[in-house]
Amino acid sequence: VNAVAAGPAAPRYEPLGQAVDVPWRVTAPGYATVGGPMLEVHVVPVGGDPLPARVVASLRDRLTERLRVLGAVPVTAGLDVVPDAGG
Amino acid sequence: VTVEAEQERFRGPGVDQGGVVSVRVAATGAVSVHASLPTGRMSTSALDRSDSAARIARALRLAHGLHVVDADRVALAAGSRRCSWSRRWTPGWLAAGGGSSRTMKMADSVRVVPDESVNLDALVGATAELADGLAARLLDGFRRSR
Repeated sequence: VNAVAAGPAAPRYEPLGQAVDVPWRVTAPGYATVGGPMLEVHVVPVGGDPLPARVVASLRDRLTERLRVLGAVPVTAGLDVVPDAGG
Repeated sequence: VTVEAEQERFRGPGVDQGGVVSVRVAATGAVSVHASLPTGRMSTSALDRSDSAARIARALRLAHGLHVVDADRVALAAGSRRCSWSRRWTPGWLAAGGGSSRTMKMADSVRVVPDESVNLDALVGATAELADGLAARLLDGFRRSR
């Protein structure tokens, strides 16, 4: 009731039933690491379906466009699209 | 698919403020935002909670704004690598009168592993709260790693 009263965007937490697969880039704590200081943030869908191949194929243009629209990178910065292994 | 942003090489004095380096969307629909952190000319970094939270909040808004995540609930994770200079005394330092030492660049990393999920729309409606929680756990992880 409190969550509903607080609005639809209030955070509603639920325990994860099982571990999710996080595509980490930083090494696990305690292991040697190289490179400059960095931060990574992951948003992992829970219980969703994998992206259809059609959507994956459209990501190349879609991501670069959204990054520009959202102002996430300098307007002068070039963007390089790197497909994952297997597409 | 990963989109990497060309990085301007930092040359001047002062602080490189850092920024988005790349965004990756996995076939699972997971969105990852990688960002560089502020550094000075010595390439070390300092983290504080409010700055980390602000950077995480920007990353969460960006991940949501890509309109890729197709699920009602998401798990949030964060990781960070920091660098610092640590002075190491060379052998014979004392005999040499204490004048000989060297510094080493040290890096350590922390991962905040998700143990709960949250509704997707909270990424927009409660960004600050979510980001502050992740930042607090990140810094706590660094404190424990000392």
